[in-house]
Amino acid sequence: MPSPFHGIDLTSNALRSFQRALDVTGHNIANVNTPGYTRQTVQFADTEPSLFYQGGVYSLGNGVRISSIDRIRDNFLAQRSLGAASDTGKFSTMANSMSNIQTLFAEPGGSGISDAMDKFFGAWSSLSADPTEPSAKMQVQQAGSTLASRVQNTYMSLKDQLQNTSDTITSTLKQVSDLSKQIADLNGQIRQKQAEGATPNDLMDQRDQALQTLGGIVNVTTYPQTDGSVNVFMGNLTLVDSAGAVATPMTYNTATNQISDSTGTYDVGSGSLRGLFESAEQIKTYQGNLDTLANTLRTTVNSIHMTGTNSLGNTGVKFFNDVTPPATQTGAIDFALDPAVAANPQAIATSATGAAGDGGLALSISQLQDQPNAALGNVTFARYFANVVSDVGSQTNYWQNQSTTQQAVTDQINQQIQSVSGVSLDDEMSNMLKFQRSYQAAAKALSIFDQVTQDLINMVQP
Amino acid sequence: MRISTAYQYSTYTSDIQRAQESMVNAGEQVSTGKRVTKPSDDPLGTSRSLTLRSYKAATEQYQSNLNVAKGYLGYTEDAIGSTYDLVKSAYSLAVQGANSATDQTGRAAMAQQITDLQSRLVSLANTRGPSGQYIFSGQQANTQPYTVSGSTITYNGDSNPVYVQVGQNDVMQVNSIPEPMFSDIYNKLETLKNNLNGGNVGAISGVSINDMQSAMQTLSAERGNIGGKLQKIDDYTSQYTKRVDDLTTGISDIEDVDISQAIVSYQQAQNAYQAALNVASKGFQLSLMDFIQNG
Repeated sequence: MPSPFHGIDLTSNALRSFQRALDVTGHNIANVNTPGYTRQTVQFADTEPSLFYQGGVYSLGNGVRISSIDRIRDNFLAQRSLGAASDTGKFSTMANSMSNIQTLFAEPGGSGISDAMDKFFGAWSSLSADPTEPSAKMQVQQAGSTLASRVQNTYMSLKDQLQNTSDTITSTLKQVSDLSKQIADLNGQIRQKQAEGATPNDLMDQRDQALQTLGGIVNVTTYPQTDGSVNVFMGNLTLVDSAGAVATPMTYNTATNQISDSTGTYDVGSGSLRGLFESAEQIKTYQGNLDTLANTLRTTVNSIHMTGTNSLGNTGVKFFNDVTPPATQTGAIDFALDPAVAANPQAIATSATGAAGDGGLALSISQLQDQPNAALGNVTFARYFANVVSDVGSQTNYWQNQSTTQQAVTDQINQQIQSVSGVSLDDEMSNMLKFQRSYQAAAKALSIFDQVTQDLINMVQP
Repeated sequence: MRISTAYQYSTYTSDIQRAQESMVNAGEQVSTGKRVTKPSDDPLGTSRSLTLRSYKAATEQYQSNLNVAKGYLGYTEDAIGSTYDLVKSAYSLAVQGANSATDQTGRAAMAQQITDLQSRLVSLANTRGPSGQYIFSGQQANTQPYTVSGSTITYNGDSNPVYVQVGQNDVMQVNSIPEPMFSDIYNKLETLKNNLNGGNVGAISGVSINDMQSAMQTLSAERGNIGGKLQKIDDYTSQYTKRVDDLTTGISDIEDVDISQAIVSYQQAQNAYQAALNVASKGFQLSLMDFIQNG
């Protein structure tokens, strides 16, 4: 025989359930702007009916219960999103880095190395045409100094950029380590809650968010465990396992795209870290190009200039500063005029003989402009540098396009994820109405049960 | 498809940003007039444009060198022309001196005039060019080429050529190789002067008149030579002017925008931006909340 208070119990249970459902709706609304938040829904179920005898055996419903509060989430999309995040990380890092490098070259225009090179050889041609013109040597001195300083400055800017990249790599590795610890920590909390029988939806969201950030930095694979935790790997490197976070290797090699510690060497396959590695190598390539340009200018110009006699009567004077063979040439980092030439334009020689009207040597130097050079791969100075600039341009263009395309892929996946997991205020508002109405109905029912009970009690007059 | 609120808002935002970026880029092309401001705008075009810029710089350099050559040759032509006139005067004097009607007093006066001509000759031979260089000194541009001591003229220069680069593989010799031309003329004038002073009518008509004629021939041949070079300079100048024009057009074709097309693109981008703003402002206003009467 059911209790006379059965109806009151049942409806108050329903009130509580609808109250919880309203709470969850409120939670969803509150997190409408939270990145990585997955909307939650209350799953209702009817309770086990109880049997009673009233001239027969009947089963009487016991009302509603909350069977679970779920995250609405598509695991397949989440995996795709991780992979897309790694590629986006790499491509956008490369695109940014190349775009910065391209700015350093300041081409095409009047303030780049190309222009300085044209003016440099032009100044020698002017000097050869009119070696007695007093300003001609000064022009050569200035044009030489401008060329050397533009090459050197571009090199130094690349060097700064490389230093920046290295600093970022170090802080990024630190971030990988921090995220691994954070994920391991969340794993621990989730495992504990799950053991207690709860579903820690919000902790799982936090962990997914951390994994997503980690996925943007390195290529990540995840293996969910039955206890609710996930194991995280970067290729064959374990980042997080059941024992917790594994110390992140902090030694890196940008040439091989690997990080290493005492126990092994691991490939970084994608993500912004891989992008930083490749950027560093790219910068080194362009530094090498500038070194080649500076050293070849030194060798070719000096070898002619040193055969000359200047108006001070000196011979064997270098035009650009250079080491004495067989010492290794220093490259673009300290590219400048020879100190004697920098101090006095009269140190510039125009001829082998020293005759004031002889511009033969200046002519030979100006004609270097049109000569292919073995050290430059059998092209002229201008062609060599134009090829470097063109490479910078195509690399920038390529990575920007890759980045844009990848962004579209990521956007699409995020759209799908949002479609499944994102909070819609309109949805929540209609849910809220639904639960409010349900609550009102249950409250009404409760008051009727109350009325019925009261009637029963009042019936019995003492 | 189910649309979440955050997605709706972020779609509006990114659509607006994209439209704004396109509009700014299109606007930049209109305001700078440049299609290529950085290598990634057109990597191949940038490389071609840098090469064209180099050609243009070199060609402009040759133009400037041509002006130098023209100056040098102009000064030389003037000096050679004056020398020719001077020898021509000496020739007239020689013809008069050879005339038996001329008396010895007259010949002595002529000899005096020849002395004057000699000193003018030396000063012409020591002519300085546009940059103050001695143009008849070979490569010894700062050394005065001719000095006279008594009746002896000495050449202090050398016989080396002075070249000006007028093309990628083309140099032009701008100095006239003076020796033995000026010394030779000076010595011939000396002989004429002595013949006049000595009244050697036979030698004047037999030797000096021929001397003057051959000197005039040499000078006029040199003038022709210089004239030929000046002609070549004019040819080169017009050729290079055309080439610089062509190269400028070539660079502009690569780097500059077609302005009418750019303005149309800008207008399109602006319309797209306005549309994105419109859609977003309408979308932001809509919410189920506005339709619910809460009770």
